[in-house]
Amino acid sequence: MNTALFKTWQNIKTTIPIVVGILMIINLVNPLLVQYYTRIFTGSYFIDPLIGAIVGKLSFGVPVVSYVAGGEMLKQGISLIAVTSFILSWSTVYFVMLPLEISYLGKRFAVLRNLINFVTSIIIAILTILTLKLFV
Amino acid sequence: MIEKIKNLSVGIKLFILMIVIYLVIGLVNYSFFVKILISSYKNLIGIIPVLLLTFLIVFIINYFIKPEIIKKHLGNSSGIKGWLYVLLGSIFISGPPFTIFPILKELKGHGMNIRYWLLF
Repeated sequence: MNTALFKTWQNIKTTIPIVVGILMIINLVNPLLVQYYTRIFTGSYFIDPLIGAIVGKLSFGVPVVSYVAGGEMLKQGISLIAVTSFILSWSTVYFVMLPLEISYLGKRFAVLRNLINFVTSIIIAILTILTLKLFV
Repeated sequence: MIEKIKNLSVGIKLFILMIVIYLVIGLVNYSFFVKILISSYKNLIGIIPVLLLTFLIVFIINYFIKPEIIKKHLGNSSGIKGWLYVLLGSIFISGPPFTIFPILKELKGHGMNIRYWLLF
């Protein structure tokens, strides 16, 4: 019992300051970022997925929030490929959470995982749209 | 003083850095400072139940689940069964990363294979 409590306490001591720090980053960056969501897309099929992935990577929240944000972006006329890339990157790449991921899972693992997920979010977005075009 | 700061954990350093940044913002743009402070507070209150649940799961893993069980089902030789457990687990446990990472760390300490981290 004591060992389990001690290990849990160690976990709490590591997690709380990082989570609070990251929340402070998110609340600082998101209000600045949200107003530019619809302005930074170019309409290009090649550049928009990349921008979508970068914006998704810098944003944060549970995946459900990305669907709402993605829906709003579609209404503003942003391409489906950029929105798909944005949603994929939002839910798989946690750039702002990197300090937390590094402290728990290791630097090499965290950096490699995020990089690979960033690249694949763009590739999967392109493949999703190509697949959709086959059936619609 | 510098030695003391160097010895602090990454989390504490990040937390202190953010407080300094917020204070600077407060001096430059007070209304924006109040806005981000309130939203930070609201978000923090919002995640407290999730964090409590996370730490409860961490405690349960430490207290009830023996490393042998994790090694057997999610270890190096668990094969397709391990993949299935993790796939089902990751479908049903959907949450923000700050809830998943502490749990994964405890499972790693109990012998979970690295490939299942990625899959999760």
